[in-house]
Amino acid sequence: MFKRLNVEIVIGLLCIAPGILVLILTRSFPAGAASNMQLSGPAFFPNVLSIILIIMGLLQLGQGILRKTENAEGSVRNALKVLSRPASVTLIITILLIAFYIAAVERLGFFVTSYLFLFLLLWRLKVVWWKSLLTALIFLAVIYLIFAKVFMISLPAGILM
Amino acid sequence: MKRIILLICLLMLVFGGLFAEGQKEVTFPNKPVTIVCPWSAGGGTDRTARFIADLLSAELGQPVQVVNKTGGAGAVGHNAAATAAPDGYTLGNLTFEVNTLKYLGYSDITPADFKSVLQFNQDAAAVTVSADSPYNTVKELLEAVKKEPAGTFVFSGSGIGTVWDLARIAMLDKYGIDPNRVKYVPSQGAAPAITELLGNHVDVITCSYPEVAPQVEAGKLKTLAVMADERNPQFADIPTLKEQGIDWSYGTWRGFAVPDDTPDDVLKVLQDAMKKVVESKEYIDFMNSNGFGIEIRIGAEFDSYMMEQFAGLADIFELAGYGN
Amino acid sequence: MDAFLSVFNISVLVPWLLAMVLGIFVGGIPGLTATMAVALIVPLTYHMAPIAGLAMIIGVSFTSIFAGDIPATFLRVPGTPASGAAVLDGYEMNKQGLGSLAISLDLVCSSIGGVIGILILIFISPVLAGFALKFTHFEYFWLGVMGLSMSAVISKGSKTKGVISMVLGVLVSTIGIDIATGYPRFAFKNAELMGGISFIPVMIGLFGISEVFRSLQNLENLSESAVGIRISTSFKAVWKLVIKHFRLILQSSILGNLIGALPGAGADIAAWVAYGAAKRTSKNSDKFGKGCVEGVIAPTSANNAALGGTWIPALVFGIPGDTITSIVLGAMLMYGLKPGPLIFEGERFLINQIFSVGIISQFFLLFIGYLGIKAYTQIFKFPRNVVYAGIILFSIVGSYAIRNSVFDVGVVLVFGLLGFGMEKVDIPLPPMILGLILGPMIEENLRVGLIKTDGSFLPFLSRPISFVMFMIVVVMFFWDPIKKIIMQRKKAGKGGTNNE
Repeated sequence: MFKRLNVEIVIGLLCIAPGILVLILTRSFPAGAASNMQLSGPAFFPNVLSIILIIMGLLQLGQGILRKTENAEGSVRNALKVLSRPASVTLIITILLIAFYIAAVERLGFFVTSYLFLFLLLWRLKVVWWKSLLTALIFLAVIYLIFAKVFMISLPAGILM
Repeated sequence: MKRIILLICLLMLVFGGLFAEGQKEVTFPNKPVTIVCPWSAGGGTDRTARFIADLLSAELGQPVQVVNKTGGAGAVGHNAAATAAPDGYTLGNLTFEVNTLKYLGYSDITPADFKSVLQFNQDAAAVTVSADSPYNTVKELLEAVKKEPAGTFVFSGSGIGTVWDLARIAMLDKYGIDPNRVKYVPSQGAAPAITELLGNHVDVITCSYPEVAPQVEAGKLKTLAVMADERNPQFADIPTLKEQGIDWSYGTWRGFAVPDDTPDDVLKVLQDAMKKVVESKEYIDFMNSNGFGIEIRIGAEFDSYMMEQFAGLADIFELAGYGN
Repeated sequence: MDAFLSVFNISVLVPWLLAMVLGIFVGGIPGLTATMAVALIVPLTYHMAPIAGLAMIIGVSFTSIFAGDIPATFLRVPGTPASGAAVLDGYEMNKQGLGSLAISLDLVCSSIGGVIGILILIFISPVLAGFALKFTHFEYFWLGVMGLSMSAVISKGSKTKGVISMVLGVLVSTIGIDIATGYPRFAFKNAELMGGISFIPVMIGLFGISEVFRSLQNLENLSESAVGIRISTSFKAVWKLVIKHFRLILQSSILGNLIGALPGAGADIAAWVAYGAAKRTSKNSDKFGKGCVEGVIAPTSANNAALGGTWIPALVFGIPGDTITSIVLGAMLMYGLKPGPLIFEGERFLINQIFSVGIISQFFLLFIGYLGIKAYTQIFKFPRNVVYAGIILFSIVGSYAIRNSVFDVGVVLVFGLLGFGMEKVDIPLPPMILGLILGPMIEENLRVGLIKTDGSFLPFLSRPISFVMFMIVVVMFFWDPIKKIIMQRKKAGKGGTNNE
């Protein structure tokens, strides 16, 4: 089963699922409020789109099923293999760091969060630790100057502001 | 070893921050004040907010910055202002739309979630048609709407459930016309609606007079009436709806408020400073040259004005059939 | 002529040039937009002469729209909404080591496009503005469809995957308050979703962050400089290309200017449409998207020309052509001017000054833009790992800055991952961006148009302009089969003559 599962099939399924989800969600949308036509209702456009999406998903699915999966190229297993390389670990750490940034910035404030984020990222990207500390500081100063001072954007204040 | 040094550095950084926070405040305000503006940079609300921020900063002796939190027809900004820390350091720049959010199902925020500082502006809705339109008074126009088959007249002005749309619905209703007799073409603000009117794609628009003034002065459009209690001395030749026998006045407004739990002494400081600002010559000149109307309601007066308007909207939304 | 000379005054020149330098930063940093810069500049100009303030606004808007192409070309991070199309061929050229040629060509075409745009503004703006007023929902609908059909033109590989990408983009654009009914769609009572998914963070994520993610997977050479090749430009080479493709520059600029003149469409749409049109009319259309100079020339000429276009309705009718000109109209009140139809007659001198500033700005752009490129390429002397970390943090802070919202940073991450995944399975990214930009244009104009007509489709076809636009869409749709037939005929014909 897993062997037969190739990328095209996964794309197909990934199109059909949100398509169906949209169709379910739009059932609770009101009919066109201001006028009496179905066409002008808020559900019309999303419904059309999700139907196209489902059709395209089915086409992909068909292509995937018909295709011979013996050649490893395009198989899901092959794609998963890539993820276990050390470089991919760096990638995953980077993604987690961005997620951490989003979660923390309004609590810790711009300076602390950005500093931690940059330092940890640079460090992971194999910059010597004291250089990371310094580079992060310079970056922060530049960003602060441009965004907060020149463009007067109020960056999230936290425990340090 | 290196890692340990590093960890210590980091910990010091974090705790240093915590200690800084620990120090108690002495008098309000002792740090920068933020105004949350629910509309985008460069628009009318943003420009007045930035202008007032400068004057307010001089009064308070602290920097005052404007933060634009836009989107969701004002829902994002009003939400942010209502849920900010109730310490007086975050002011909401409220606009008329705060009254509509709950009715439209965009947010649960109502005027009751705020304590008012003051209202500083009000602009009445105006009824504007093309200069070659056969109608010269609102009465003529509305009689024609009554007489011609439903759907003959196309109105526009702004989005669904915005102040200009609601003003139109209530006006028609006051004249005994079912609001659904006219078609309403929603637009993203007054500017595209004016474009539509100039291109003769719609028949009537409702929006504030200063927005159409350049076109009216150039003889391309004509304004039939303003929905105000009295004529505006700045454009005294435009009659009010009341003069023409339609008992209806409506318009948008702008004001400042803080979250409901803000302590009264803090509110008092803000109110006193803001009063001085809106009485200043700079402020009055600014409003005049931009064509913004000045209307001051302070504290409780502004609160009750908003709540009254909020309650009154239930009927209009019912008429329009918007929201739930 | 007096007006022309009068702008060479120290009290105008200094703020003007400063604003143009500022524009390089605005464009070069993702998330900072020209609109933001103009909103910031305007209060400073209240005490200046009107033309000084207007020169600042014009200057900053032209440099920033060019500078947006710099990170787009070197890093695949579009600096402004209008530079989305620049990532297609500009970045490909950069990958082939031709980045500096691409960006220099981009700069020269930007300023030529700007000049053409302003010339159109000077000479035929009243006619064009009248034409633009004829546009209403029916015409805008077809314009949207026309733009969206470009996604078929620009996407490489599987057609099914191109459609999937486009449909997903349009679907994302339906999140938020529906303009025709005011109903909040797919918002789940969340204020941020109610406001919709903004298009800039999506673009930063989809193109920029996904590319960083991909680079992080090839961890070798981390401490080397990001761009190995020396940044040097031979202006001779650029000049040759400009002369060779002058017809394309002209075509793209006129197209861009026309689209900019419509109050309902701006420089971002202009760039995409010009790109699609260039590919359609080019002899070597199969090279587009693989780093061809025509793909660089078209969007950049068009978006700068579009800026001149946005001033057309603003000056002739006092109707804003985009967000920048709407701020300008507000600022004019503060200068004691009455924007609107009367300004053309009443303030002829000022209008001439504006025209002069517009033209001269294009020449300043050449110098300041060149300095900007030089300054920008300094960052590539840093090691790769530092550059990547910097791109990510700038993207985060920039997307936060658009509307002071952490939500938008989340959008960057989500679309960064999505873009990374999509490219892994060969789903093209540009159709998604097009879908996101044009989805609301198509939907709103279709549905609001139907409200106007009581549900009748007739005006979408029966009005003269809408009919012509519909025909263009049809022809574009069937262009490939028609072209094939013509080519075959030609071949057959040639074969025949050879035999004789």
